[in-house]
Amino acid sequence: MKAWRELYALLPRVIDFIPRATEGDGVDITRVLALVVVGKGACDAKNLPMLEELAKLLGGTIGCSRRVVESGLLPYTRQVGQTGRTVVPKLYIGVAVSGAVQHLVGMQGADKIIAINTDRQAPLVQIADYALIGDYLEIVPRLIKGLEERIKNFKGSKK
Amino acid sequence: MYIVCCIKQVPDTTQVKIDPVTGTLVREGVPFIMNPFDTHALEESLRIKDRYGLLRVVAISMGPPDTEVTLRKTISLGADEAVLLSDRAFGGADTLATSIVLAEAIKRLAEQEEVALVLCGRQTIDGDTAQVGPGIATRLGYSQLTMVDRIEGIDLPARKVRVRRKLEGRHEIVEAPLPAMISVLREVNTPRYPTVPMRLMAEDTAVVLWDNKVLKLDEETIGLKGSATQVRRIFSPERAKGEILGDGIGNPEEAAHLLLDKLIERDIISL
Amino acid sequence: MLPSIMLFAVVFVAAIALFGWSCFKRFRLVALGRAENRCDNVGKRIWSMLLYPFTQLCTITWRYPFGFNHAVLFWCFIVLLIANAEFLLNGLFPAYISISYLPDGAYFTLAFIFDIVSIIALLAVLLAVIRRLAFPPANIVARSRDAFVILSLIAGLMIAFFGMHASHIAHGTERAAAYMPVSSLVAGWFSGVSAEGLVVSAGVFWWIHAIVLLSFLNYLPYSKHIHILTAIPSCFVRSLEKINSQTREEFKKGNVFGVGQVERFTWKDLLDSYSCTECGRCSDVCPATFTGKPLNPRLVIHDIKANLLKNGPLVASNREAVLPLIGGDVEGSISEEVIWECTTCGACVEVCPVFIEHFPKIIDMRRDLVEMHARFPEELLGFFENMEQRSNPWGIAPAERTKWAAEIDVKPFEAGKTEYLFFVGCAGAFDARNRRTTLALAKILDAAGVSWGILGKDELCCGDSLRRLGNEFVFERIVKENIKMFTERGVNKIISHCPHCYSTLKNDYDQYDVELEVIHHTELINNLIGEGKLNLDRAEDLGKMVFHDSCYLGRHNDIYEAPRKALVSAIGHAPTEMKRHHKIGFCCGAGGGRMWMKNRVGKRIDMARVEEALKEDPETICVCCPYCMTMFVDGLKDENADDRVQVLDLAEIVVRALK
Repeated sequence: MKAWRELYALLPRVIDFIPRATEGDGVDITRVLALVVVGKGACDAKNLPMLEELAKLLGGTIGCSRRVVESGLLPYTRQVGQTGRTVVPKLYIGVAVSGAVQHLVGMQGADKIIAINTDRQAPLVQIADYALIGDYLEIVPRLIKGLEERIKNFKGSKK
Repeated sequence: MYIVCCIKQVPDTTQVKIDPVTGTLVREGVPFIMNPFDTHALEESLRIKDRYGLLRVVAISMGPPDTEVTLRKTISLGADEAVLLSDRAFGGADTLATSIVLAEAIKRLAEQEEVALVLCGRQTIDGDTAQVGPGIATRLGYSQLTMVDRIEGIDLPARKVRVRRKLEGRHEIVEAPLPAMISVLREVNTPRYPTVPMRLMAEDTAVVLWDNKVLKLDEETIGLKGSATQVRRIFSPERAKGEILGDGIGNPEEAAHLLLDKLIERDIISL
Repeated sequence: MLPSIMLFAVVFVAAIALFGWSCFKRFRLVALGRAENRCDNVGKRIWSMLLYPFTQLCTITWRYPFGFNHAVLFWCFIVLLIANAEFLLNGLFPAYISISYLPDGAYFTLAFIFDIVSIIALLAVLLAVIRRLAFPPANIVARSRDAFVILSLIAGLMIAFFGMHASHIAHGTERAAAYMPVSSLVAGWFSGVSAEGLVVSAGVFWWIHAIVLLSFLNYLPYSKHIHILTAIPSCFVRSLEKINSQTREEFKKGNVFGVGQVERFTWKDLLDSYSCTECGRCSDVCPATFTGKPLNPRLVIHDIKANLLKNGPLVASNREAVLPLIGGDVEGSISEEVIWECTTCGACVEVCPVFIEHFPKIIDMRRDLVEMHARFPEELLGFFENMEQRSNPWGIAPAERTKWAAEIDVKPFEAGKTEYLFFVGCAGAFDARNRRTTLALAKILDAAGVSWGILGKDELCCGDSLRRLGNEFVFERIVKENIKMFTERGVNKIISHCPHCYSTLKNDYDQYDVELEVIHHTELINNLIGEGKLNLDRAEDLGKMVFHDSCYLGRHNDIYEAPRKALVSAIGHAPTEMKRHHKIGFCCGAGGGRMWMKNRVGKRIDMARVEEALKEDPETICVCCPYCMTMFVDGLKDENADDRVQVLDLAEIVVRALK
């Protein structure tokens, strides 16, 4: 018994266990597989619910660029980039994100990068796998509708 | 009392490109840097020394002769001594062989003076295995404390250390007896910057060289011969050139559908 | 006239001795500073010493018209120097020295001049007092005790002068009475006084004059008015070159780097702190002070003086200094946040009437913080590491330096074959917006048939921000690498579109063993237009165009006209000037390494400049610098004006005008 106690004393032991406090609004964007990232061009409280809807349909959540955090629309825990979080989602959709280098270094490891932007020359468009050049206000609602349709059809066909 | 800090000199991997023809790493012209995780380990060692006094920081590194440059940098930051473990026989080592060499070196140091702590960076940016720290701890029988993002306190008289480990979704506070191997995360601290007088002083300081004549390890257990694993191929995941889908301005409906089709077709989203 | 020559002689000798001792006590502290050679080119220096003070060129400027009052006082002072010298000598040797012993013509002329000059001086003093009380400008400390003491003493001197001479005139013992109109007027007020009374009053006023004069002399060393002794020598030892560089350091073990104690400044720096007249013009033009930062150049100079006066006597006798130069929040100690706020724009140096060099002292103190203590704002750690490891501020892989040229045909620089190295610079290579400027300039160079090539991914940062932030060690390292590369590749002529690269390669690299001919793209474009090598149409209408002077182009290197002339060729008319332009152009806020730092206090400097630009209601703002470009683009976005105002580099405007 004494030997066991001696051995026990030699081992590291856990003396406390602290659940990690939730910061910001509690969502950890580094742990989702699909990220819809809001850029300065889409920084609008009015249209945020629409983007959140898209993220939800894709099984993911919302992230944003530094400027959006600075404008106060979303908390810093949602920030993707050099001074924010580094994310490696399976699907990254940048909505009106220009893709300045400080942002790119935070997401360039994503599996598939989609850019929705009016600026063909934006850096994010240059590195994206697929890009839709146009106004997100026109495109995103159609993406949402398209997804809902396909989900409905798929569920329908499964019966 | 020693704090041993394990350092690795690595190629600056953001500058390493993959040769499009052979698929191997193009290392020429790529500068070497101190493994970023190890800079934090060194900084933590120095902070412990600053805080507790009586400990001396020894930086050790296994590598080719030019590793001396990086070890000299540790002196310019405040390390008291630096030891380079370099020998042809050490070359081509995987994490097992590396752990053996480093553990032996630490054993030698422990013969000179008590080793209280061994600090390592969590992983290297070229190997990314995170195995060497635990390998050293196992070989030496030291307490093994990995994923540490804060050293809560060291009780030298009682020979105990208390650390905080960062795990998924929670933190653990762990207490362990010394000597202990602690591998740190990058968030443990912000590394200091060297002052010019320290840089100039480091230029003159000798880096001790230990080859296998000093360590006297069986050549079958070290280097390429002693490696249990072998790197077959290194390649970067293919990233094809992107494409613009449809005409988002003229026909957003069609563009949106094109994208959804592509995502489903490529199995990026599944219904 | 005098009760006793002996008494006056004693007073006089005592006063002079006291004055001499005060001066010695003060000025020996200046000798504590490090050596510096300011005696080269003696001819030019003597000319400066005669020109600037005696024409008062520095004090009278468009921006500060009240300087004219100072000029008047100065000229009166010079004239009265003769009068007062005569007064004192007459007091000692009345039998031998007096202007009344001169031939009548000379005597009467001098008497007249002194009379008129004295009243002008008195009026000037009165005007100064009224200004300080009623409508003080913001940049001076209006109700300073020092100022009022000085003004009172001068006024007292003039009043005593008139009292004295009026008494004589009233008594009838003044031969030159007819030539002293003001004194004669005052004499009218003494009409009721008896002859004995007049003798007494003459004596009293004489003694008042003597005491005030000698007191004034002894007050000088303890007041900002000591500038009457230091200003003229300051003109002699001023910098004959523009202040666009800093001194090198020797990196040897055991050396001390930067200025962490007041005696580490050079004697010229310490003399500067004495020369300051507290006019406040430097803080009036400082962008940091303007936007509410703790940095105030006048106070920095004042703190250096206060520190020297406190620590100097201790250091001089080998004792420990008690007041730290850097870090404190008290008078005589400069806080770290003050030191980091400077953009090195040079406006302070430009407007100083006594040629004080403010911002080099700040860089010296930055050197102490960075090199001796590794203490600097945390965001600079990433910057320094990036520069050391990747030779660019953002830490981007050097292989990406040629990405800007991906779509065009660009040649590498070849020794013997290529004439100009186009030094692209870090911003021009890595920053998305500034890449467009690089492309525009490439197009212009090709259109003009200029032989040019680039270093490609081997190019390193010029090191400008490193030097201005005080990291001289890493700066020197990068300079030596650059020079090695230039020499190996046979580079002699360099074109740059960044004023910081331009200024550094031209002025700072000059301190090393290399011969470089550096030209800024605005100069080059202007030359090419003049030589007819560029065919220009009028550019498509860019609307109202406002021009912004880059500090490192204008104040640091005197390039104001070249970009403007080029603009005229491109758009057909001169651009609109902002309120602060040319020599007092307002900084965009990015210089001095501030580009890499956070704005912690007060308004952002770029916002202030953008607001100034927007006041002119522009449609296009023309800049010549990648830092200014970034600052304006960001500032306009934050002002929500980026949809109606565009920012273009001169190169981009000229490209639009190319046929």
